[in-house]
Amino acid sequence: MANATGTAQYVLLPPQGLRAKAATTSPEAVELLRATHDMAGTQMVSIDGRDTAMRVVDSLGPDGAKLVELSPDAALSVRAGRPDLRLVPVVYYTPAVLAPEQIETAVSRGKGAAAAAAITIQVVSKNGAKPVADAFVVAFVDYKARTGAQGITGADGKVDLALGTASITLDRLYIYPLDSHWSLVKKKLAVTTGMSVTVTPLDLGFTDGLRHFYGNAADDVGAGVTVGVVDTGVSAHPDLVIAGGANTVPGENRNDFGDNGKAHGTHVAGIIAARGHPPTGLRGVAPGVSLRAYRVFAKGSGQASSFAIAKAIDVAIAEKCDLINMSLGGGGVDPVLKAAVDDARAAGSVCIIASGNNDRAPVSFPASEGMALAVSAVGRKGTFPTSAAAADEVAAPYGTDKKNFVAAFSNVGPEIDLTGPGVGIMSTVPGSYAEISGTSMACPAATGAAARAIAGTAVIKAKRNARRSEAIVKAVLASATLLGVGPTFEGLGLPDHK
Amino acid sequence: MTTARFVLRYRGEGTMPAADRSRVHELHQTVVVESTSRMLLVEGDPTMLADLVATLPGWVMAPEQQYDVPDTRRRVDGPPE
Repeated sequence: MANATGTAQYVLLPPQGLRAKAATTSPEAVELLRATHDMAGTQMVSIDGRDTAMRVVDSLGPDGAKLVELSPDAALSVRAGRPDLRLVPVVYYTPAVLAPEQIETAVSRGKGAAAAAAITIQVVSKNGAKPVADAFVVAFVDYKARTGAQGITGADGKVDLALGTASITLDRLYIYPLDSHWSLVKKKLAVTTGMSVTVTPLDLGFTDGLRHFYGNAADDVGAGVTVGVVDTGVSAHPDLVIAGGANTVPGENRNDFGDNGKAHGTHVAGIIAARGHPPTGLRGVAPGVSLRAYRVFAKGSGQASSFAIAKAIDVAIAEKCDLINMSLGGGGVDPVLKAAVDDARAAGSVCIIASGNNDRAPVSFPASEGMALAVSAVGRKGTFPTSAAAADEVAAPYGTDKKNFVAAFSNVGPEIDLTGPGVGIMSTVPGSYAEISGTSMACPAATGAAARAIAGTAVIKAKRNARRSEAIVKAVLASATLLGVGPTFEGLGLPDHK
Repeated sequence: MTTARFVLRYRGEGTMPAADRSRVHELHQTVVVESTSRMLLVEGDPTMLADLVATLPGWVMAPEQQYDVPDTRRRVDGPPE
């Protein structure tokens, strides 16, 4: 966070560890660390020939890390001029205080919750006009300015939207049912209070993006491979077989690795290994894998601590997971989480991580970490209703087959190793099924496909060390097929896609 | 004194040395919130912790960070004007 002078605090670190070592740090980087060790006040420091204003707040010795204050431009100069050093923003967290969840504070819930003049909309199912409860309704008056109102439907399917009027033409209306129905987007929609909007039930026999690219696999596909899901936990579901797992949230029951109420992890797990039978259930990409759940999000919480995630990776390694799916990320590089991902690789396990959903921003951490496999999201026209919110994610570049596209939300960049279907994906949620889009969905698709690629090969029986994980990565990358959207968008393409 | 939560991770072979663990536990006004065989979640003074970790070979330290559940659903940022 910048202070009144426009500067912010960073930690300037050697490429490895907290103290520079000759084997891993360039002489020029060591020289800079030493030159700034005893520096008092703000001074001009030469960074690759450019004078850069820097204040050293603290130092861990001449060759050690420095706590420094820099302007944004100076920080860029350091990053560009000294790529052989790491510059990490300082982040302080207050114990037991979590950031408020935007969805909880900014939305009204049910009819009668809004004080301002409101438009009441009822969401009903196309199946018998039944009210749809717990749907997230987002009404944009001005989509570009992101203004409007949002809320969650009550048991009667109704929600009050505080739009300050009884009728208006919305720029866009989005409806995201909690489960069982496709999402919906309507543009330039005239709404008046009391009107109903209809959403379409999911048909589990429908060919969505996942099933288009990977079909409905046989029960034994992926057998012999152990996959860990580091997420919100995985709930019991008729389509899922959970071999075990752990809850690594500090202070919570280790054995409570069921879904924390957010449903994300259960959806991810179903994409990898659901064993249902359409049209009454769903199948994942590799139903035969041994699936383990590692819950890192506290009960009901939308945030996970780096400690819980790193601990989950350690437990997954100890429980002999071959592949570790991580549909999470964001923020700056965290040396502890980076170390955990690196340690997994050294122990013969490979972390497969979602690239992030920031509309073509650079690949987020920890997917950007070199020892992980980073996964972007692609979609295919015709695998979701044109009225679904997923239709908003269709964007260039398109593949050799013009129906294939890179999801508009997907983060991309040179770190991308693989891609997976992540637009309008049906999967399991506690007690039901839901359609969700995200690199969170593409990542488990790639993980399931990676399991298919290594199942039954010699690598599974190899000694658990760095050579084993390198062999896993080689086999997975060799199995991939390009869609033709370009390497920064798809890496080597869809794994195990024939 | 400003305190914050940090994660300390041992990168050497095997589990963390007992002596290292003891030194963190004994650090003035530092609370070990949770520990594993390779990590300590601690609450304490950043400078004191960094100084200590700098003397412990094979350790990395970082502020505890929080990661959100990913979500691609659209949201409004504010009410209509």
